[in-house]
Amino acid sequence: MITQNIQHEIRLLSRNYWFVSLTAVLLLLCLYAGHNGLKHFESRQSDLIQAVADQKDKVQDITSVAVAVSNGEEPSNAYRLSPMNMAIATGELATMPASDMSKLAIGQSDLFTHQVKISFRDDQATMSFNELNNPVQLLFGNFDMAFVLAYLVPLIIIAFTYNLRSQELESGRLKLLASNPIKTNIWLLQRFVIRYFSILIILSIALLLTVLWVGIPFSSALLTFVLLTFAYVAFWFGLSFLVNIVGTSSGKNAVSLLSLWIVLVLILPTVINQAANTIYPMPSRVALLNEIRETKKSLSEKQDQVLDEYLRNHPELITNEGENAYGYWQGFFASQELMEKELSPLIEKFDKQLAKQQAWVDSWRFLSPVVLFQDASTQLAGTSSKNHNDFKNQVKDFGLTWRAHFMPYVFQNSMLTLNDLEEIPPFQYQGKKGYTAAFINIGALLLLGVIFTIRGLKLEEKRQLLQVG
Amino acid sequence: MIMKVATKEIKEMTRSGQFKWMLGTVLVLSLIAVFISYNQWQEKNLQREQAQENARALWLAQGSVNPHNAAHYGTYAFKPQFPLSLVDPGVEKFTGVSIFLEAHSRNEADMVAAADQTGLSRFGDLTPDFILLYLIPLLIIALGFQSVTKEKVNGTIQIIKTQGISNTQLLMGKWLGNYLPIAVISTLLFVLAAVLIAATGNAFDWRLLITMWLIYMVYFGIINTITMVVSSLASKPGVSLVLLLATWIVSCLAVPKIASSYTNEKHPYPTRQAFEAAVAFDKKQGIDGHDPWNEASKKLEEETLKAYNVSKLEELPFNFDAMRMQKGEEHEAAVYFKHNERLKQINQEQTAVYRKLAVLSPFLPTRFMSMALASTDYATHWNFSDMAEKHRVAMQKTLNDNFAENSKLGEWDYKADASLLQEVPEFQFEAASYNEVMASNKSNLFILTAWLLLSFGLMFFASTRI
Repeated sequence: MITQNIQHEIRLLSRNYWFVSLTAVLLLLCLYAGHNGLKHFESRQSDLIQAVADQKDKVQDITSVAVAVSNGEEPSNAYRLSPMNMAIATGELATMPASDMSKLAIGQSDLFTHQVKISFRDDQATMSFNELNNPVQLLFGNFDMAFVLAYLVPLIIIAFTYNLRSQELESGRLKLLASNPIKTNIWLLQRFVIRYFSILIILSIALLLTVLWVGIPFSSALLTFVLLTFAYVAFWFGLSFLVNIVGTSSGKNAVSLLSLWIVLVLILPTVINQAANTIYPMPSRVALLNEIRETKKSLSEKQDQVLDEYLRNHPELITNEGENAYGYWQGFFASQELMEKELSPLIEKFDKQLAKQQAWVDSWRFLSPVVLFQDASTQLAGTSSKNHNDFKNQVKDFGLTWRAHFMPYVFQNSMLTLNDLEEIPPFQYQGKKGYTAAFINIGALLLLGVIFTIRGLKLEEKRQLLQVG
Repeated sequence: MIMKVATKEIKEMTRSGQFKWMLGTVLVLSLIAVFISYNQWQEKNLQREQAQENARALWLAQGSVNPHNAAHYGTYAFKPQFPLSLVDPGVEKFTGVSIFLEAHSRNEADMVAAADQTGLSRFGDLTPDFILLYLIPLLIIALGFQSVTKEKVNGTIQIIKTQGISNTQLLMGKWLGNYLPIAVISTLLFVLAAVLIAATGNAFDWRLLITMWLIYMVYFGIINTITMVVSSLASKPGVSLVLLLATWIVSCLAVPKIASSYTNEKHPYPTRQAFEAAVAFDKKQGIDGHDPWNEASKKLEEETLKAYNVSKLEELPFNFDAMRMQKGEEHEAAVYFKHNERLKQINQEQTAVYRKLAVLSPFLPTRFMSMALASTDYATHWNFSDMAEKHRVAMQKTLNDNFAENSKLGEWDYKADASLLQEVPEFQFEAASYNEVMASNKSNLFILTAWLLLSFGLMFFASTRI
């Protein structure tokens, strides 16, 4: 039966005008989405390369001054070797390079910045990681591959499967089939499986062409992305199979499947998001600002006392050379450190609340296939909230390292030498690929798809037995 | 005749279980959306009021202080939340709400709410505008996709025609029958919002709300007409549904995303880091208010001495340090102005592209009009940013002038009277007036009207093909 079924389906599909034209449309959509992803990637990378080159020039300038000094010359711009100049004006550029996979899912990368200048004077509490952007663009989102796969592909699946059983029922052929010595549930499953693989082949070709066109090297992340897409498609096929069996007419099937699409893709994500914001509301950032200012004010009022205390805790920084041993900067950092200590519980509240929201979203994501898909695809692309949060934390940590490195120089009021320049710590972003989350989501999508299918098989089997009996 | 068809349609709807179910879902979602939005809206109102008061109190609490220290201490400008953001929060989630006003730098608005949320925030929020823009059009399609097709398939169309009704009358009746229930639900939603806003005692221009309501009524009218057209032309209900949903997805999801990707590709903003680096570079080219050895400072010194015909800075009738700072401030303000104008230029190019693309989908002009009327659009944010900068520049001038007039050169420990702080006014921001909003959204209004006329034209064409 299976070979006949395959032949029959292929003949049907190849003669189906809609199927052929929609295949072409799907291919065009994928290529256009790939083009958008590529453009986004390119502008992100060229901005990054420009910023890195500018930073390199700045460091090079200072190095050449240091070389001159080490050769015994007295250049007029020797002041640039002051630790404050290096630590503040030059600073370090922390960058988060785009991965090739980000061409497929732009994710949150249009909201957050990928290059942050780290300076000695940074205020950890108010550091901003937002990119300059037109908010209308953020509101509408991007037309990328993840959008095509997550939103449009399910609709194409629905269009090709909603009447696979009901059409036969309506034309009366189902009774003919049922009277043959075949199980109608297996026959229907075969039809679905054949269509599933046809869509997989078309999608694979579309993906392959896009990947080759935009230049994404083959990697385990790409393979996982393809698996994720297959699992997502399997979920929708499973759901449509079940609806086909439960539903009685083509019209009702179409309405039910489209309503499910609306609920699962459009409504549930917003409800989960809204619930996360309502159950774990963010404390007021506006109130935080005033809190910061009040703390700053009270600390600046007792500046001397603060510095004394600070030096008691950091005896290694005490120098008694010269009259200006404890100048402006020493006082500044003494109060900065104290302020951060006092404010850290307030700042942590935000991070904790966001972590709780993320945990809530993570546990409810199984309700909506599109959330599972978005979560896994952006993590594979390195553009999820989690990736940007990682970057943020690494930058803040590095800010402390940077400060700790320069602190002794500031307190000693000594100029940097060529050797000192070499010892300055560099920033390196440690990207994580969320394979674990991706595989859990792939597993969940497949499992749901299989559950729907088994449920459908059992229902249809029972029905056929009843009809025959 | 038209009314009879409409009444029959409505009666049929009220008897159908499917209709009750769909209507119920949309109503429940709307109520949840309004309720949640209202709570968050009130909380934000309170937060911003308190923050504004606190910021002012902190500013005044400095007492007798050196004017330049006060300038560095600075204060905050908060963007007020406008009443209609209850219905449409627009781009508020992606723009900051406060700007730090200090000496020497123009700061960007900070505290972007979306950055404090998970990645799911990009799917949108369950707010009234989400219901109005996305779900109600779906409801219109779900209710109306088979309104004419059904008659054709069942053969009842012939019977109806024998009653002496023209096709146009039939379609108008069907149109009205599908439109009225939707109009009632959405009007209720607006009335609820109006009651909630009025209950908080916010004074505002009611024309904004009424126009917004009208815009949505037109938007629904366009979608209803397209639904009737497709329903008349399609041979089967299934085909009609698929075509209408494809239209919905293209107009509400795909076109906005394509518009945003296309606009960003054609007219990209610089990165924040590049923008700041460019500003820093330009700032260095002029006077540095704190650096007397800077080339431009030297030049200013010479010119000032010449102008007052004295040989030493000490002989000037004012504190030259403060004057230099003010000149530095002016130079810096000019640099910020130049770079922000460039950003604005890019933004105008982007807006022009969005406006052109608005032709592609009635969703876009409605989206833009709705945000503009709620004062939650990008233009309002730019306006806020500009007003805050204007306020900052005036504030620096007041402080520096006081410093210059009342102290001697090098007198850095000079302290002004506490009343100086009162001279710096509190920051006030008003949204654009009704007339301004309407004037700046002429093209959106025009496109929306064109869509309405076009869709009705199509409907009359379709009435000849039933």
